Amino acid sequence: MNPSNAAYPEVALDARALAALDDAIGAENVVMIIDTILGSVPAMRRQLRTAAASGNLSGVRHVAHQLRSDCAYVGATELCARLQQLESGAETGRLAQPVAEVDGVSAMIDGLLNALRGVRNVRALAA
Amino acid sequence: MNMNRHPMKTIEFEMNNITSQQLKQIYPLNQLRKDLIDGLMSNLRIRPYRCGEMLFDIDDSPEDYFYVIEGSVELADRLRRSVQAIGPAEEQQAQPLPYMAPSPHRARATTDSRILLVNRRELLEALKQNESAPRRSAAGSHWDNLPPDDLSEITRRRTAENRAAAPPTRPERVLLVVDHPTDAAIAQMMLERLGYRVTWVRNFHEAMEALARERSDVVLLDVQLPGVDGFEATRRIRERWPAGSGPRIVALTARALKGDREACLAAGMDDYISKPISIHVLGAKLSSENWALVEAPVIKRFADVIGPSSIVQLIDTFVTNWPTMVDAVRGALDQKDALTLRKAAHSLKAAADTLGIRVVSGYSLKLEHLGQSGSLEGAPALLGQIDSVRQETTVELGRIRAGYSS
Repeated sequence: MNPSNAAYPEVALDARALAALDDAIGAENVVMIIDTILGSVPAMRRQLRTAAASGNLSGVRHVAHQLRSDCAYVGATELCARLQQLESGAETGRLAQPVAEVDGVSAMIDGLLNALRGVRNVRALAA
Repeated sequence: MNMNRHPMKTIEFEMNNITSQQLKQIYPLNQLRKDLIDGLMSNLRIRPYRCGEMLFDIDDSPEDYFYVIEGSVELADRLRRSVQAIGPAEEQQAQPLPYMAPSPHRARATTDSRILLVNRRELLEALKQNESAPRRSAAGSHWDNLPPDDLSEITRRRTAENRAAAPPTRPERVLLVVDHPTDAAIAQMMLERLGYRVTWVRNFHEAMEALARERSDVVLLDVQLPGVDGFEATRRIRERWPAGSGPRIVALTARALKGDREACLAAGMDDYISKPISIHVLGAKLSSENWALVEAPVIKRFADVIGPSSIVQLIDTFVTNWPTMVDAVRGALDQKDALTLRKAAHSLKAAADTLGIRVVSGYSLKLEHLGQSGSLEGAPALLGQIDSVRQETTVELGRIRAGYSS
């Protein structure tokens, strides 16, 4: 295992979701979408952490919602479910430990980024 | 094809008294049906009558013969030399077929459609003859060089030419109001693939400016916009551009909670789409009935035969069994078992056909073809597309079901 990846929880991407996206918008555009996600998710994670640390549940909900949308498109179903819990908790005010919850999701986001880089590299090689 | 074995005249087209065996004889030919379903059927409005599919297994159908098809008057005229038209609309109304009892929908259908009985070769010939006749489009035709049986190619070209020549029947301009870049990019790509011109703005204020600046046929609006959310945005848009004179407003929501649809409609939205967006759902929601996920008229015809309570039961059975049927396809794919894939996809397709669930039926058919060919390449994408329309299709079925359960 690559040592740099050792700390990342593995995030599986459902190949069917990516294949369906390929079919809907074209494989070349899917690479562009992956690049968009790779470029925007780190900033969104920072926003998520900032919102959680300041108790801004509305902010947590909004960013979790957007991240969930990204995860759904690329088939990161487990992370998607976690983000939905986070979003729902923030919306109903039942998020007991926002920072801890966000930290848990944050670790999975590393896994997502790692998995997406893998997909990106494989597609670049295949192109 | 043995033309003498089943001359067209041998079938007395009295559907009121028709026997199962006769129905089986006129059951659509397997191959033509496969060719038709992808394009020709939707573009020319030819369709094998679906009642047969509910009574007989397609694998048992004879390889050569008759199709009972419903076609437009224009198509009937084109085919008149080669096929036997089963009476004008007035006669059909006088002798209603058991599966097409008079109804508001049926009355509308009889004014512009005919029932035709046709075999494969004659249909092919008629289509080719039609292509050599002058057409409204001056685009020219390459069809004369086609081999007689290459209906798939005819279908493909006809589809493309029809799209190019036909006047626009669906909205052209979509105002996309989405703040999240990924959602915006994916929605825009899908919309452009569907043929729409798209203007993307990020919030309510930009949306109002865009609407004042240029006409939009549809506003595709994210419910969870920052600042003024989608519900409030809808109310304000409707204040200035009332429903009927203003654009249609379709919500984008990732919530998909019970009651969301009602909340969207109460706010003045015309419809809603759940995220992640499926291109099929998007096409169905924004466009005409040609893109419908579920063909309500198919259910209506069936309901006229078996009654509303049975339709309700049938819909419930389909919705309940959908996961199992899809899992069977998925399992076959996981096992790379082409034969099982073919069978499982065939079952799903037959069930979807029965209720006029077009997208699922179309993708199932493609999966069935892959299973038949032994090549599973592309199958996961097809299954993904089926998965992507499940929620919306189920909602649509529920909506139709409600009309039969009261």
